[in-house]
Amino acid sequence: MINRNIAPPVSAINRPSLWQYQKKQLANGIEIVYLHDPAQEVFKIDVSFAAGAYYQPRPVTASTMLNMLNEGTRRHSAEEIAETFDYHGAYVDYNCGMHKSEISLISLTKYASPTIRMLAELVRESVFPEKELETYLRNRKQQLLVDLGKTAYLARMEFTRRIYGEEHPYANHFTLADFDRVTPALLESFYRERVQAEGCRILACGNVSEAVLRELDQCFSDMPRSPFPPEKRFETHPSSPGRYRMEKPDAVQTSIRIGKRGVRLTDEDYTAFQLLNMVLGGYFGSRLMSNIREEKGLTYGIASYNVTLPLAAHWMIAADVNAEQAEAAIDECLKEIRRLREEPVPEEELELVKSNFNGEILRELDGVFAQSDALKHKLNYGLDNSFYLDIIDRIKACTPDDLQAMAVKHLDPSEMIIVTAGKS
Amino acid sequence: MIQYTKNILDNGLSVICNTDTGTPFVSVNLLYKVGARDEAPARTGFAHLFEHLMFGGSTHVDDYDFHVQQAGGDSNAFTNNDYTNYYVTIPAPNVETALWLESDRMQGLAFSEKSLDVQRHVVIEEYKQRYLNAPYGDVWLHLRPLAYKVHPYRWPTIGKSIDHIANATLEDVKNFFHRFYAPDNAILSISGNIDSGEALRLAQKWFEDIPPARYERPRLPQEPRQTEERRLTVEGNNVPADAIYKAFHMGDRLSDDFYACDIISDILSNGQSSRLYVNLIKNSKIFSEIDAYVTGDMDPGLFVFSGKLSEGVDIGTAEQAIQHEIEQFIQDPISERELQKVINKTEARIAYSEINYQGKSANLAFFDYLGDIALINDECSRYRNISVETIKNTARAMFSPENCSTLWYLKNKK
Repeated sequence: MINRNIAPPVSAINRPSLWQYQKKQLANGIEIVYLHDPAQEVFKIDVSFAAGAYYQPRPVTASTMLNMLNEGTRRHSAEEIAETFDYHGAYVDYNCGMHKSEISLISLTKYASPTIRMLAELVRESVFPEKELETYLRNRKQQLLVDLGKTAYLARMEFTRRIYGEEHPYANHFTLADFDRVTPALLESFYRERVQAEGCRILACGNVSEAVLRELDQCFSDMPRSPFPPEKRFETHPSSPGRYRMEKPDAVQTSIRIGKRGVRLTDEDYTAFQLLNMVLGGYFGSRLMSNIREEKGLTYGIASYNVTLPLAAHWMIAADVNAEQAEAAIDECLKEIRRLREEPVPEEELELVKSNFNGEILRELDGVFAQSDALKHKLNYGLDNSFYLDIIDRIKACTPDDLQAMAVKHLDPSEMIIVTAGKS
Repeated sequence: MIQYTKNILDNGLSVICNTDTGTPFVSVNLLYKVGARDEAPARTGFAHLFEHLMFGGSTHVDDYDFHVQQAGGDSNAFTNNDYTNYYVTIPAPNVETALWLESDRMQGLAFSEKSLDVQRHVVIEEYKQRYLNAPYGDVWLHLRPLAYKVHPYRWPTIGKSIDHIANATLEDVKNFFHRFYAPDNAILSISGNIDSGEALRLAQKWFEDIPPARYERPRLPQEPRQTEERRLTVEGNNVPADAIYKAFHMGDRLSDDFYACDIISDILSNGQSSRLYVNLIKNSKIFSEIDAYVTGDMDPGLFVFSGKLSEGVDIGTAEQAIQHEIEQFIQDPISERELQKVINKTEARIAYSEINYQGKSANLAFFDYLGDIALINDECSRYRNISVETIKNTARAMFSPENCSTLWYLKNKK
């Protein structure tokens, strides 16, 4: 009989092995970064531009422009475009970030030629037909109305407005009326200015065969390049710390956001703060989960996040909780924050969190597609995935005192904004 | 093509192994052949509540999550109407930790009032978050009992009502465990950076001394053929747009009917070049969203149309538009290219799904549960073997009014 009282020995978590990425520059200066894995039969391409919300002249311009790229080109209708991708079993996805806008293609390598050509056509020859735009805007307005019915959405939007100020692009504030002000001319002008070789990067991964690289070269190397207009600078206008309420009288749960400005990826404190965040609310066994879900059953899930953007970061706790006990849940959150400031994290707990953190890094770099996603993000900060090896060393060195110092420095409850959305 | 080995231990546990050296991890996937279908009608939501309790400690392990996290692993689970699936992805050198934990909670769970009480509350909050506080969240609470009158698919996994969860007792928990959580009612599927022989050896080491339950489960009542049209209107919902749902009975997961229906749903609504998207969203603008899909249940499932109406459209008009698409589908020819498109999409979907070892281990377990593990590599040919004529005949037989349940989900008139 096997002795089940003795846990099998646990090995230290391996350092991740990093895929070697390669670089290639096209004639117009566009950089292609790729991770080739011949064992795959699939490839993925991300083409990104400096066309995020940060640069848009009016709210929702960037996302509308991006999502309209497949609604018609000079040579093909929306339906023909969709038919080309669908026929080859390819997926195209659009991701509008704060600074970058990105269009992604995932396709079987044997269909590289037709799918990459169509992708390039969307990028280079898009038109913005009135009729398609109308449909898109109508559906987006409807989607917004659905979102406005969700307490989690209300709380999230109110929180970022309070952190950055309504006018700041990072607040991503928009209303129904903003959709009515979008015109084909507005999109066209933003598209011409932003979707071009300047600020463009191509990331390819999976089976990046010679044929894939050749297609990319042919499709993108003569894309024109022109300098951007001078960049606008935005000031943040944070609200004062304290309570903010969004009313939703019929809600059976209250959504909570508690937070403040966070710690950026390039800051010296980043690793230690991430570790601290994990202790509080960054994994299933976190203090918030243990207390508010597993002890008290007030929520299905509670977590904390440090969201880092190129120019700023914010940190928050998020949960949907039993409406009758929202105040109790907030009190417990603040109690857990204070505990981190007042008492060092016990060694055993810190060891557990370090293991979990290392496991998470290994997971973030698991396979060629994951490594490509991780690399894409790091390149925006002038880094690559060796960033993670540095983090692993820093994690190892963190002590309970370091974490307490982080809590004292970065998690002062008197600096926090607390948003609730639900019935009062 | 996925390579795997399959062995059955003396206690009835199926052990499946697949090696994938492209990852430093191993996924340990344990499927229990029990779902919401096995619940008593007066005690629904139980299989899912039980899934939560599985994380509350076992005979020799106080804290399941602690050991997973310490080993750099990640674990989760889900319950559906047909089965309950637990999985751990863990760095390959620590795979034994996962097998120790999973085998321990199979051989004996720590039953406690405290754990039951807390998880009741957690699940009630989950119920609120997903079904009551979310716009359109309660649609399936209406649609299931409309479409099914006899089969346990008539209630959702979360349960018919919060009361059923609130009333669950520790006695129920124990009975459920002893019946269903045993090696002869489970499939262990291991995939990732591990040799098949080693995986089997470790599975034997940790699982072979657990006795089988030998529980004779009652036969599930099968849904009789629907003979007349069913309709339900739910008014006064706090949502921005009216929505319509039409559910037709179809075949079970292993039948040819399933593959034909899945192709029909792809032609109708998979991708932005599909018929419903082009005709009803882009051209006529009757809907802001529309979808056609199959539920893919083990027992005969449902073919569902679901759509959200554009502002100002009458719901009767919207229903006619769907009806019109159905008629066109039955009458008009299906082009070779349209069919080839569906085949290509399916082939690509299967290729994408083979990228991830966690998905592979879950799929291997699922197909073994269906009764034909080899199907994991035959799916594509099952789709290819469906002729245009079969598609037409399937649509004609299925899309009849007396086989349909229609739900009108109307917004609040302000």
